[in-house]
Amino acid sequence: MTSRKTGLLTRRSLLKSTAATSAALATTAGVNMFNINSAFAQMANPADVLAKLNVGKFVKKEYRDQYKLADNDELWDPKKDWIRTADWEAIRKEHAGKTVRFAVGAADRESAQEQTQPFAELSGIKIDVVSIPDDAMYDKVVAEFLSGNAGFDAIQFFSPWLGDFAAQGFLKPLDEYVAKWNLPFDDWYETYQANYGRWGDKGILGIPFDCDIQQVHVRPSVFKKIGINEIDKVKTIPSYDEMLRLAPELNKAEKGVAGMGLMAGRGFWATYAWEHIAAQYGMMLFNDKWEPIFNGDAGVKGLEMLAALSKHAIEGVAAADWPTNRAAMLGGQIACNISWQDTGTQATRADQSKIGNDIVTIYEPRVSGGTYAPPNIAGSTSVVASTSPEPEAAFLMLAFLTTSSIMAMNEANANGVAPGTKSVLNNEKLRAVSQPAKVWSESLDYAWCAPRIPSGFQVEQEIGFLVNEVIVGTKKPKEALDEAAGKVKAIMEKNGFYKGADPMNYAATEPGLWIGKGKAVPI
Amino acid sequence: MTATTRPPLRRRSPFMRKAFPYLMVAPTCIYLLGITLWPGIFALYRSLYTGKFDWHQSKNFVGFENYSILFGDQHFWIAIWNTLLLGSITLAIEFAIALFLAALVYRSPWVKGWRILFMLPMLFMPSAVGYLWKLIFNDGRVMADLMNRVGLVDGGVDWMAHTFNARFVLVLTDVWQWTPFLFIILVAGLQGQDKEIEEAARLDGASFGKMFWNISFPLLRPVIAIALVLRGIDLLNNMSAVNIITQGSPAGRTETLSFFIYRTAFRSFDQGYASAASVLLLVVTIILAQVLVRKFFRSGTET
Repeated sequence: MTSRKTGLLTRRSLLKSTAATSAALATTAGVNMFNINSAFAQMANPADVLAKLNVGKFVKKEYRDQYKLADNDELWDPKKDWIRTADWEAIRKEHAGKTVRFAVGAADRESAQEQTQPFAELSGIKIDVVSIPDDAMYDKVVAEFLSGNAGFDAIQFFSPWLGDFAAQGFLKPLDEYVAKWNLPFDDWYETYQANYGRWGDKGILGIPFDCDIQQVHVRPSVFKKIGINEIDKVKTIPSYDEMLRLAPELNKAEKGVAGMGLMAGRGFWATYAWEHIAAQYGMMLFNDKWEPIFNGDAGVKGLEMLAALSKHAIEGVAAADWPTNRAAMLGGQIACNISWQDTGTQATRADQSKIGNDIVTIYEPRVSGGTYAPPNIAGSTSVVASTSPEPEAAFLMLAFLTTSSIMAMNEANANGVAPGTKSVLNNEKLRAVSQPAKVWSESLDYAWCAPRIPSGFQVEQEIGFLVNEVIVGTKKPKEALDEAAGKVKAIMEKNGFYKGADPMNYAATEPGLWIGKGKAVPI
Repeated sequence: MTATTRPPLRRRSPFMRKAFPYLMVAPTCIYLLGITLWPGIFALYRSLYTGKFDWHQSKNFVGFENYSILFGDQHFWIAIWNTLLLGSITLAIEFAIALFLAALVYRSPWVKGWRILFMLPMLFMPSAVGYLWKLIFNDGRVMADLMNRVGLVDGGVDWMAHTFNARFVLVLTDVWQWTPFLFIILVAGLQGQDKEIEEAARLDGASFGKMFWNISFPLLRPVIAIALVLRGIDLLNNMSAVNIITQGSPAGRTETLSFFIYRTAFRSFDQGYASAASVLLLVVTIILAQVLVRKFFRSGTET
């Protein structure tokens, strides 16, 4: 059947299958025939629904106009777009009429909410989106898991928490569903597969949701004022030493514009800023026995560089979190910024930013004797709760929400939910609407990432408190990192490490920590 | 037709007569104790355990270990110091301003208007006020720009990198929003005083200042005690402005005890440790409230 080959359905085949399903359900489960019939009768032809899942419908008009996007432009590869290859007929047969509850962080709610309708039309599965404030998410999720009352079938959360939940057995392994429904899991970049999806040697526990990376963004108009007329993505800031040399000059280039932007607020923000730079010096957080080694030379040099750069940074850097940094960059107050990739996209959208196209995202600066390790830092993942009564339906919902085309349209909308698949980030049309995409995609093959250990977020918090002390000058880098290493070891000990059976397998985790290991530097 | 005879009314037993009023108020008392006392008892109980997740099953009784670690935790002591320092400075400034303003307006014919006007900052959500002042000082750089324009500074001002600056922003934020609270209470206290006493003093030739300090102020002491205790307790629990504006920066020098508890519980997810700190905050609050009440809660008429 043609529809089988192409993954599409004909109306006739669909009606046949749904009628058969209805009859089977009615006879085996005693379900009211009338309701089933009416439910299926209302379901649209998947091909029609999929045809409407396009740029014309889901990308904001002003952005379509800005980039001259046609309604049916494909910012993705249809062969890798799961929703266009999935067997919706089979999905409906097995799952139509079910409801899944999806807990999503308030920041990412919008992208999930607007897709509930097409998913219901395609699958017959209804999604209840429950938006939870990001600060309360961890506790809510833990409470749900512990209560065992299956309040949520699927949950999206900050990826550093993955270890906490995975170690406790709160998450449903998804390997079986990935295989059964042909989810193209290998389309995600390896760093996301390893750190947002797989957990050590325990298989696939999550589907990457918001695939972030930190990058360096510069503003050509300010660089021009210090004599750099054109930004070369490789050569303008080839190293952190060069960045440090340029920062004071940039500071003087334009009134009201600071040379550097960083997020060095207390806690995990400062940790991420330090990890970003220290990773280029070759810093790894742990050795193969999970003992902290980040207080070695590479870690200290990274922290020294961060502290030096912060002296030329915008006021308030010692308390800067992502919203503060983002507002300053998009408000035109920073010349060179270390931030997440979405700053590079959002800057180009007139309704989000004042700087327009005055932004270029460059390749990660190198350091002498260091490594090339652009940092994949702290996006979000999505999981199915082990307590879910409908785990397969919940998986299908996540597969839908994270499918290439929807993620590509999220990126085109610059809503902060980032795609992490090769087929999207390598798509030329997507690259045309996402300024940082080319550098971003090429960086991911070399990405560095912190392991998702149990208590990982607590570890990031503790390191960050001490990094912040260095930024404000109350501690020396080595002193701060030594103290942090002691604290981290104590936290990990409390969480089951060093007792003969570590809660996470290092050997299985290690390949995902620095994807660029052993590869030639691309630039 | 047979008339129905009603059974004779029975007199309640002596026990029931005594217990009845208590039974009537019991539901309310149980409800109030449930929402006030029970969380405190639970925090005390939980502070004796570690256990991050399913602690009902895997909880680990550690006795007073959380407390002993807490006493050795430099962040905890810094947080206590910050709480007391920021709280006392803020309270002193708020009290001085509120008393001054209250003394100026309490016999004014426009006093109702003043009350409404001064009350406005209190009506905003504390988080909104936090964002407002963050915008003024840090994100929007409004203050630095003003200071530049009048020639006080040349260039930007980093309000978050220096301890004094960051604390100043927090104090100012609180003073702006909560001085009206003290003002309202003090005005009400002053208005409630007997006008005849003031009249008699005026006839004896006393100046306004002398009348205020020798008559009105001493009579106001019980009101001041209540106002300071309420405001003091609030300041000990100061959390939203710290969370929004500084997050404890620089290097924890603006981290209050409430913020320390919050980030320990909800960012480091160490509930037992956070519970121990909560219990200690409760103890500190009770002690300070007692000190304030004992010091001020004497009427000016008492000898």
